Amino acid sequence: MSEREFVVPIGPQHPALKEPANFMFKVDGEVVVDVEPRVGYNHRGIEKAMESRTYLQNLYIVERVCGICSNAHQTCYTQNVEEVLGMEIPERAKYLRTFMHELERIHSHLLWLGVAAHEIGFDTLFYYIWRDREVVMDLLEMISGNRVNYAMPTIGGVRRDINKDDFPKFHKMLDILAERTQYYLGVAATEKTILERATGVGYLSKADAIRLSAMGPNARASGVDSDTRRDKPYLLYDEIPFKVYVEEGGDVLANVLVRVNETFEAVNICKYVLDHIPEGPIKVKYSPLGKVPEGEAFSMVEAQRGELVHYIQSRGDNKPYRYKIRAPTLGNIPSVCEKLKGGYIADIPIVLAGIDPCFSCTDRMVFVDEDRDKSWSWTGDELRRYARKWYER
Amino acid sequence: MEKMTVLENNERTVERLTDFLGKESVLQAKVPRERRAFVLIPRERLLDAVKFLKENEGFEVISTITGLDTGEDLEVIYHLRRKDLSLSLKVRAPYDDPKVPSITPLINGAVLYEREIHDLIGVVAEGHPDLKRLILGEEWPEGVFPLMKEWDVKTLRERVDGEVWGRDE
Repeated sequence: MSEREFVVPIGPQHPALKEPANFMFKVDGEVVVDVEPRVGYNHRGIEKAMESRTYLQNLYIVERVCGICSNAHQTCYTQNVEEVLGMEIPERAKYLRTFMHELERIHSHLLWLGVAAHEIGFDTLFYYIWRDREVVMDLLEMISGNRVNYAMPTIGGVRRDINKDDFPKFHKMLDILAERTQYYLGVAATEKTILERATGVGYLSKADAIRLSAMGPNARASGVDSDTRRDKPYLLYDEIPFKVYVEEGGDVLANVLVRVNETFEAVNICKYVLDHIPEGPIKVKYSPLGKVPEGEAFSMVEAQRGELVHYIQSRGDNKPYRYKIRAPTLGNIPSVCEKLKGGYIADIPIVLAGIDPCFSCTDRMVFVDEDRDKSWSWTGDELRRYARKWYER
Repeated sequence: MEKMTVLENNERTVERLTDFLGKESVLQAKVPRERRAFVLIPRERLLDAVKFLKENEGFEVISTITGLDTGEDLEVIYHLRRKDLSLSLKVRAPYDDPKVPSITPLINGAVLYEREIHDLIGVVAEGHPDLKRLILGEEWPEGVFPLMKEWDVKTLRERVDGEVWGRDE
C-alpha cells in the first residue's frame, strides 16, 4: 500500500434505507482504488427456518424476506410450490398476480428515484416523486388493505379479488402515474443537477456487467439485454406486449433512465391487465395439511431490482427439504464494487444507491490513515454534505 | 409451436453437454419443462463442464449456487443462465472431503456465492481467490455449518446463543 492510500470502512450501521452492509474502501486521495464488501449483518436464517415450517407458513415467512419486494418473493415462492405440486392456477389469478407485481415495481422504482434524487442533493425532486408515489401506495392499499406486505398470492391463486366498479378509479390513478412518469423522464434527460451528478458516474461496461453476472436494471443500464419477464416468461408475460428498456450508458444516468422507462411500461402493463382480465375463480383449493410430492423446481421472476431466484427441493413431506433464496442485491454487489473503483468518495452514496440495494451503508464512515495511526468518522449526513460541497466547488 | 422449439433447443443443449462429457460422466439429466434443466455430474468434471457451457453454449452468467445436505453427501448446485435456459449443474462431495473446484476464475460472478456456501454448508471451493467469511459473523464458532441437517433451530440456538454469546432463552 502506497503512502497516499487509506482504508475507509463504511457501514455497517445504516441511515436512510433498510438493512446494513459494510464496505472497506481503499482510497488514494479522493479516488477509490479498491472495494471490499461485507454483508450478512441482517442474515436471519430464513432458509433454515423454512425447513421446519409447512408450505403455508412459509408463504408468510417468504413475504418478510424484503419489505419492498415482498410480492415478488411471494410470486416466486407460490409458482415454485405450484410447479412441484403440478397445480394450474386460474386465469384471473394470473392477471391479479401480474397486476400486483407491476404495481409493486412502480412503487419501488419511484421510491428509488426519490432516494437517488436525495443522494445527489436534489431534495425538491425527492419530495415531488415521493408525493406522486403516494398514488400507487393508495392503489395498493385499496386492493390489499396494506401499503407494504400485501399478502396477495397464495398457493393456488390469490387471496383477494378486485371489483369491476373500481376500475375507472384505478384507470384514473394509473393515468396520473403515467403523466407524472412522463414528466420525470423529461426532468431526468434535461435537468442540469441530474446530468452533472449522474453522467459518467459509476460506470460499468457491458463486458463487466456480463462477467460479474449483474442483473436487472443495473445490467440493462450497461447495455445487457436481459429481462426474466421476456426471456423466461411466467404468469402472463408471454401474452402481454411490453418493451424491455436497455441503455448503453452504463452510468447512474442510464440507471435513472432505465427505471423511469420501466415505471412507464409497468403502468401500461397494469392498464392492459385491467382491460383484459377475465371473470372466474381466483384460486383453486389447496389443503395446508396436504403433502407435496417429491421433486425440485427452480423459479425465476424479474423483481424490481433484478432477477430473483428460488430453488425448492421437496421430499414428499408437508415441509420443504431445502429452500434456497437469492435476492438480486447479492448478485449485484460484485458489479457495484466494480462501479465504485476509480470513482470519487463524493460519488459513493449515489453509486451505491444506483443499484437500488436492499441496504444503505453511509450512516457512519471511519477514515483510517494506516501510516499515521489517525482516524476520524463521519455520519451518513456528513458524507452527503461533504459530497454536495465537493461538487459545489 | 414456439414453445416446442425452445424445449427442443434446451434438450439439445443437454445432449451436447452429455456428448462432450461422455455418457459415463452424466449421472442424471432432465429437462422438466422448457427453460429449465438439471444435470448431475462428478465433481472432477465440473470445470470441464462449466468451461464447455461458457465457451460453446453461451452460459456466461450465474444466477446463484445452492448448497444442500442430501443426508448422504453434500450437493452443490450451480444455477447457470443464458437467455432461453436456466441450467442447474449439480456435483456431490462426501462429508469427509467437502471440496469442489472453484468456478470463480471461469465465471467471476460466482465469487460471493462460493463464499456463501462455504459459510453455510462448509463446502470449500478450491482455487477461490479469497474464501473468507461473507455472511456469518466473526464470533460464529468454527465448524458449525447451519444449513447441515445435523443442526436444527433449537440445537443451533443452544450452541451459538448459549455457548458463544452467553444468552439465555
